[in-house]
Amino acid sequence: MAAPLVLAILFLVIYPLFKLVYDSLTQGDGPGNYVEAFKSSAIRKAILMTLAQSAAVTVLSVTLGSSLAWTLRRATRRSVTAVLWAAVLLPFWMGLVVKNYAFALLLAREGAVNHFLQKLGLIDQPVQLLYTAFAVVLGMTYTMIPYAVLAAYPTMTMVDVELLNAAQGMGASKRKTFSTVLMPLIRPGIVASTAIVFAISIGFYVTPVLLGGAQTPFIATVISDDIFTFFNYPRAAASSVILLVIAISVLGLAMKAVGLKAIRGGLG
Amino acid sequence: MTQVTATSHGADKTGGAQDSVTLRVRDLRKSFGGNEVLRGIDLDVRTGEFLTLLGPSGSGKTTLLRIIAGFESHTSGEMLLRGRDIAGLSPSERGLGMVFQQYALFPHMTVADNVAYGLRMRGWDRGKIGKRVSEMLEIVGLPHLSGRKPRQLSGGQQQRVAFARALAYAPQLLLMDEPLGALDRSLRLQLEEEIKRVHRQMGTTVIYVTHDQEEALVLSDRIAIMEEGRFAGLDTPTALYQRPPSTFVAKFFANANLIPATASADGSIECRGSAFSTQTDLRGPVSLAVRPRSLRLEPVTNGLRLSGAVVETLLLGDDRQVKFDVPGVGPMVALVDARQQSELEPGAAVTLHAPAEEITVLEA
Repeated sequence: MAAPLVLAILFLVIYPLFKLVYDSLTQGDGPGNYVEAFKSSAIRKAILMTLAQSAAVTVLSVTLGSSLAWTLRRATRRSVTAVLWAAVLLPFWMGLVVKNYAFALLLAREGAVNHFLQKLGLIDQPVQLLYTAFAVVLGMTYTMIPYAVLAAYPTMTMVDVELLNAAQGMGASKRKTFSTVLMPLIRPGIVASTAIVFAISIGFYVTPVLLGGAQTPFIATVISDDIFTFFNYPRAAASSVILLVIAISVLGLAMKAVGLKAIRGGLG
Repeated sequence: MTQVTATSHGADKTGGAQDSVTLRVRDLRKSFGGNEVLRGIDLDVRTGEFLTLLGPSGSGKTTLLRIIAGFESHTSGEMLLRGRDIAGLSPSERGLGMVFQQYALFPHMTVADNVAYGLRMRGWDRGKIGKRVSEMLEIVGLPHLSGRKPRQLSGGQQQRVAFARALAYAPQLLLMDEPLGALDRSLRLQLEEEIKRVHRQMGTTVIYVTHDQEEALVLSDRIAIMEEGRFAGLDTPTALYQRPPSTFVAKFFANANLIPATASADGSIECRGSAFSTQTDLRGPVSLAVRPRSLRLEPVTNGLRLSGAVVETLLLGDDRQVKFDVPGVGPMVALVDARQQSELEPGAAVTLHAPAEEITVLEA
């Protein structure tokens, strides 16, 4: 029964990955592809930009997402949970391009946000919002919050709410209850959420292009340029492997911190 | 065995009349939507006493306990802990001890850290905490398990840890919410004894919630019986059992048979053809509460006579439980000496007698 599945995984997952690594080491300058990739200032800038912006997106998404997940955990009124779940899941059903164009419209020079800020008298002239790092982080965070919620939620459902009562009954303040009881118990979910959001974020392509333009090159953008503009397939393969190694390292560290089960629970 | 007193770390004793009452509750009410869960509770919990809230599920006993703990809000009424108004305080400011039905031990902490939690929150220094934790684990008989995590313990052990944890900081009042509800019978009996012993040893004031009448009988100095958000009776177990104040208490707590009867002007009772004299002030239609043990096969000089047909008999060791049906009244239960075996086959006619002094006359 499992044989077709194993074959599918071999051909569709393992083989392409192997081929990617193999090509990056044998085509063009061979291992020199990596040297070339690291020597290119465009790629170095893209790597730094990708890591920095993904880190910002991760902090925001995980903070907001886990608060939302906890709210979902505690909400007792059905109408409230229904609205919250809809808010979490709706962005999933919207295409990435649709979401990004919605943000592009909002953040444009003549867009709703500038209009609103001018109405309030906070600014005289429209400010540059679109094609900034801010726009990219905002758009990516919006996309990543549902992932953060879904990754953090399973551990939160396992927390016995009576434990918080027990802590407060014994004299713990709200803050102490959070740091000594809630946080240690939901930590696996938070780590899983962080790892998943970060690993997905560093592979983003559409949002940095549409909302950041030339200001925010991500590794994925550079890889695409290498393939379709400069026809430098070997260097693209090397950059792809670098991206892959970063993603795997992050997941590996997270797994080491909280175990595979927590991460898998987060992935559903 | 280590001796620990409740007052050594408790708040100041204010002296005078306040001293004897630890918790005073006045006209406490609680509604959920339009539904009244607590309908005016008045309660004085005396210092050092073991008071049980006993009632069927939905009677409001757990809600009352959780309101006292501060986990739930109340709609109106007063709560004074040693004279101090606690109604507006958060659970952490009330400083009470709490034992939960599902233990609520912190799964990520060791047994010792669980017991130390309340002490840490009170800012005790490490040495003092360590000493008190081992004292408490000694008291509940688990000193060898201090390094374990809760999930490595049995249910009974977990509840002992929860008990030690709640008592470690010597709270003025310990609240226990059906702590033995999740345990099997033999373990329950064992822990009942232990709770009683520790209560005697530490002298803590306890409010205990249960729906188990036997548990309440064994443990309590006083029992408050709850019915639909009110106290149906509040007294010592003996008084409630022998002189139930209402038909609800008679049936729910004393397992009494209830028989309709009529009281005439001189206090004499007429019931199904038999008449006897009592001291009752009630007149007109009344209910007679007769405990199964009070019904016997021998005639009595002044008392109730009931005739019916035996439905079934059950041997309970020294006693024989006789279920019989009295036409027009319904099924009754009697406990008779098991040696009196004769004429009690199912279907047989039987006449049972109860002396007047063992019958409680209640408002119908």
